[in-house]
Amino acid sequence: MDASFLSPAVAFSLLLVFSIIWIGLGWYLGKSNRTLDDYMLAGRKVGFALATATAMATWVTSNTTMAAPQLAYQLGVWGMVGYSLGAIGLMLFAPIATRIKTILPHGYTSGDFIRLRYGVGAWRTFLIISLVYALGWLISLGMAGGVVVNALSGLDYEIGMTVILAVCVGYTMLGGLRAVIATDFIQSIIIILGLLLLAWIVIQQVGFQEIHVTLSDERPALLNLLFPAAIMFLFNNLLFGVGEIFHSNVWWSRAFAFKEGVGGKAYFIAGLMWLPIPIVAGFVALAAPSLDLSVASADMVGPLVAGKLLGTAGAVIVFIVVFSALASSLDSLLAATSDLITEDIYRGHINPTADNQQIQRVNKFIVLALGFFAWLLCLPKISTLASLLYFMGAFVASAIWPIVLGIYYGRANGTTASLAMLFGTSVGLWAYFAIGFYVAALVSCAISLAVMLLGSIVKNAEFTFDTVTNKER
Amino acid sequence: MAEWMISETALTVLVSGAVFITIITPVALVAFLVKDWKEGKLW
Repeated sequence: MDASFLSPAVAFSLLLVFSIIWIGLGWYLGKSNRTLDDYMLAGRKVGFALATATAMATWVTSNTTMAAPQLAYQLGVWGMVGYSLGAIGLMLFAPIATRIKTILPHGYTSGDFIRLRYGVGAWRTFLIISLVYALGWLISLGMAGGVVVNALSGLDYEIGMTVILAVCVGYTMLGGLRAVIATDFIQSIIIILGLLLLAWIVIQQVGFQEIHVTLSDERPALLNLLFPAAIMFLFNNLLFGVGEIFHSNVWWSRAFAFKEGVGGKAYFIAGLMWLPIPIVAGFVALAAPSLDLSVASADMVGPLVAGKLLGTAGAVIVFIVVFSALASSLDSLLAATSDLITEDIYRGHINPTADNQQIQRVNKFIVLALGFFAWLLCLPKISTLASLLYFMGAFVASAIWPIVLGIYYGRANGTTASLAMLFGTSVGLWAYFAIGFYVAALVSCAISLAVMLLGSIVKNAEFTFDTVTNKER
Repeated sequence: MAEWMISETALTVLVSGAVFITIITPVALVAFLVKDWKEGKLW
């Protein structure tokens, strides 16, 4: 197979066309933003259709479209099914989204809840975890954009990465969360239609029988449901996904933005809609042995199959799908991280008396600053930054139980929550290095739970949830 | 290593089921969008 599937000129043209569409939409939707709530939270009345689409699209990242095929190619059936269990996080967040809207109707961020529920100590611990993870994810997405565009078209890494970051920063700054949500809807349709077309071509031109026979002969481990590494990956991925969603302001900001009564249904249905996507994407990769493809780099197996079966048209489809997946996650991350920094660092620590107009200006500036900061760190293409996310599983999983118990259990207290996050993270990191990446989130979650339960028994605290509402700004 | 191989039928059912749900998804999303828009509940 050729090194590039598309010419740089075609790739750049595609980037340009979609950039104009997204930025145009961002500018148009930004005109209707009047208040801070309009800008940061789309007016707090997002309906079911847009809510479901944005929850689903944001969870479809470049990993879903590139790493799911890679995992299917390396770990087989459990690789793609294990990846699809990431949907459980969305579905489990459904009742939490409903509860968040009830107990904190005027909240802006996950940090608001932790501060009001647990106090300053736990709030700062949580902010460190949340911001380090958000920044790591932002940089990994930025790098992924440049790498994928370069791999598919030969377009320089720096150009592809810069264009994708600049476009997402542009329409997010212009339109706020409304622009993010509206573009998410369109991007979700593009992603699904593109993946369906590829899967359909694989079924028609290769077929299930041919795929099964070839794998049975050449790579039987991929069909083995007792493949040990795959089973361990499955459970760790499930917990990592739950931790990512439960702690991240990307999902909390949506819970605040959705109309009352919508959040629970939207997250649950979004989870159901997301669940088959990694299986459809992963299945495409299982056709690679049947097509006698030489796969030098496993993360390119999806584009290789598409290119083999559809030529340039297949490469165009993959390009558009991956760009949409990247944009749908980058814009959400930019908006949510900016919200967290604006509300919890700027208003929370630097200028508590800032009015809403100032907050909105600062928020836009921080979106720009985040984009620039990410661009600077993406430029040297340090691969270790991308692998940062692998051990962040220990960090994010430590926040699961402080959040869940904080929302439902009155005896959970701030000191215990801080200790749970600290100990969970520390022991989880030890497990990461001593045992392997596939247990970090599991260990962190277990330790965090043990500390939360012990602390809740030892310290006689009783929190009433109307206190959260009463102390809102 | 112990083995328990997924059959061709099971693989077909798994992937076909995933494809089927994925086909319904965009149709459902657009239908929900039209409904919300008609009722003035878009956002």
